[in-house]
Amino acid sequence: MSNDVLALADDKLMLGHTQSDWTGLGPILEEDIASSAMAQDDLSHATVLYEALGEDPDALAFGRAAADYRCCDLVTVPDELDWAMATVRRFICAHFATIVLEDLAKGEGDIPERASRLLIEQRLQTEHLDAWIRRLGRGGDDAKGRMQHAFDTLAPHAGMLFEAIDNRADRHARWCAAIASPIADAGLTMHTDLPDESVHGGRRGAHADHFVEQHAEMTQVWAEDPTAAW
Amino acid sequence: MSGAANPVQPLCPCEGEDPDKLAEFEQRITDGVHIEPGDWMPEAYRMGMLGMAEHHANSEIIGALPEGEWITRAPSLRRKLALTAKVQDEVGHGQMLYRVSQELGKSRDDMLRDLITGKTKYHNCFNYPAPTWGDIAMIQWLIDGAAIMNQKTLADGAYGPYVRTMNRINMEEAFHFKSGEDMVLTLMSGTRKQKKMTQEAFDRWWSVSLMFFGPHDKPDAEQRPAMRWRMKIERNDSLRQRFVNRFAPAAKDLGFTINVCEKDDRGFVTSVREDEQCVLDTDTGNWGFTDPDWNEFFRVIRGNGPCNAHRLDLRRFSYEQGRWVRNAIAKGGTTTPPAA
Amino acid sequence: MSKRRQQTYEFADELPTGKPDDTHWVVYTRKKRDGPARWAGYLDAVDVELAMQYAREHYGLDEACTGILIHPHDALHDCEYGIDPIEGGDATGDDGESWIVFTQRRRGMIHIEAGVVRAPDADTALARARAIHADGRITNIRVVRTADCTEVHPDDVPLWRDHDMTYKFARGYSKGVRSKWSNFRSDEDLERYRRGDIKEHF
Ligand SMILES: [Fe+2]
Ligand SMILES: [Fe+2]
Repeated sequence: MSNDVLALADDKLMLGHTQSDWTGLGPILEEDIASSAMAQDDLSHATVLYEALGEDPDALAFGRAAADYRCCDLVTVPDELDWAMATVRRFICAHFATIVLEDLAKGEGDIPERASRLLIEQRLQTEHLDAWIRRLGRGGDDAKGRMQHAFDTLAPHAGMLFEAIDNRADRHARWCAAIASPIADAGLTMHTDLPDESVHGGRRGAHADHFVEQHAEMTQVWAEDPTAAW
Repeated sequence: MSGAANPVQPLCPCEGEDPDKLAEFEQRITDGVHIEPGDWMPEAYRMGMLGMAEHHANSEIIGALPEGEWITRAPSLRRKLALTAKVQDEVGHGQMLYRVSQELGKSRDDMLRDLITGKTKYHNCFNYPAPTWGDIAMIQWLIDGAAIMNQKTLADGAYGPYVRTMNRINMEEAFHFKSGEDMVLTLMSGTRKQKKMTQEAFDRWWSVSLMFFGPHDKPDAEQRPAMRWRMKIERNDSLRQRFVNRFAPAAKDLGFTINVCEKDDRGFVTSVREDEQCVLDTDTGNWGFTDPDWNEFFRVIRGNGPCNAHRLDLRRFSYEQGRWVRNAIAKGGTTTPPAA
Repeated sequence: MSKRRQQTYEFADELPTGKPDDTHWVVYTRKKRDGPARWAGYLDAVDVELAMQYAREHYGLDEACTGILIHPHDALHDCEYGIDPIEGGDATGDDGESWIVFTQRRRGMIHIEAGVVRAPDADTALARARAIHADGRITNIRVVRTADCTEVHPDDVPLWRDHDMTYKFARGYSKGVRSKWSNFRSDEDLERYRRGDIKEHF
């Protein structure tokens, strides 16, 4: 179970990292603010989950070698500077996080209490993103084309959310069910198979270059002097 | 952040206005009565407030960019969260201030477009680079500190909608400043390398923060519309002096050397000498300081600062990239059926 | 810095055509659960669903927000703003639909929820609200048809976050700042500085 906690925490860290970079650049001032608030939630959730593992959150967030992170590939795939990619990525990840948190909330120890608190905020995100997928999918040909492109580009990475986590087949099925209706409502499609266990990705430390680059950027200042206070 | 160097007002802009109404309006301002929606106001006042709120909003929106560059590199989770929230606040300030101008007659889209094309201006200080994490500490400590001093006076202005907005914004500015002060204190309590980085950042931002309050006032500033109509409350020079009185001794106590610097075209310091004027005058209680280079100030305002082009490019990227989203949202209400 | 922020962009000479403003919304928040809704700000959005999403993520995450109320700007009816407190009047009656009443204590201040009246139209609602609320201490009355107002309560939708939010408030830094200053300044100097802080609103 702590594998799942670390995987989810690292996903949230890197998703919060990539999404918070949009702050000040979003397409509509109001949505810029809203999506930044949710990026902050993701960073805060990562902090809560790192604490749940009994470790110093900053040491985990900044002090590990790239290969020791357990986030999936999807959270750092370049978003082509496009809001469609950014939104679809968040949508896919938010539903995955909801399912993992639902399971963690039923577990043992002090994780369930934390997980159920995070779940409440996670559902705010999924609701917001479901609505945005619908709106953008229905927002005319240009928007629809961009959204479908984003789903097509990200779909191959989405399956790797389920690499090396507990109950992967069951969770994959629940996730497919959860994302199906907003995608269909939006007039869009996405198909994701569960990849074979033999395919190694970020959850087992086999990270793509884009993660390694992001990791280097994120830890750049911290790494100048890991013992210093910042 | 931000909102000084208010757009210049012509001295007597009320030709053709009804003299009785104008007298009543000016009497209200003198009596400290706020102007509220629906009140008569001279056209020059409406245009002046619109321009001032628009300039202020532009500054918030562009002000989000220099610090935004460091969100991906903030060195702890708490700093990353704080910086994101701070930049997000500035976007929120821009959104609220644009609304004040919208109500006075200009659409948000027109304001964003005029900003991108350089038809309207934003605060000069955001045309300088932030090459290190130390610059982030300096922006939040010095520039947000200067902004609070300025905005606190603006909240004593006469235009009700602007005053309400300013009061709201100032609550958030207190966080920006405290977070900056915390960063500066942390870095100046830190390693030798951290202190060096922070001193270098201080050198880049000290003169910029002196310029923040705008050029020297005209002798008759109080008679000109901006101050006569209480759009602007305090003279630039008096705000600047109050700023120095507070920040010069704080900087010295923290171990900074207050330098007079020369900079290259990229905004990087090429030479420093200690500012010998920066001492306390015990008679007046004022701290001295070397006047910033006003030629540089006007050069940067005219568009030739280190980062003007880069800031506007990124803002334009945001505007153009976001256009399909705005169009889609306008079309794609939840009742719209999915396109076949 | 990220690629997005580093990139050199190529643009066409002309900007694409612009668009008119979306619907303007007025936002009020409650500080206490049973307290009045107080003006917080405004935003633009195409419809009420988005407007409420935006309001929650912006104004709902300021300190101590326990409820949000929004309405389209066009739905508000303000009486004329008084220089002096406005007169009461003696309008009575309680037929018609429900209107939420907001009052302003002084010019330059915010509107705060004061109650509800029933009336068949805005003018009647203003007159009836005046009779009840103009107590010689307010300069403006605003009425908004209750049906034009949308509200969320934290029982239905969580507003405030449950995890540590002190990173976005000044008080999250005050203690640390004070203790770090003590390495640089004497207690006495620090106290003087703190008083300056309050005076300058830092
Ligand atoms: Fe601001
Ligand atoms: Fe600020």
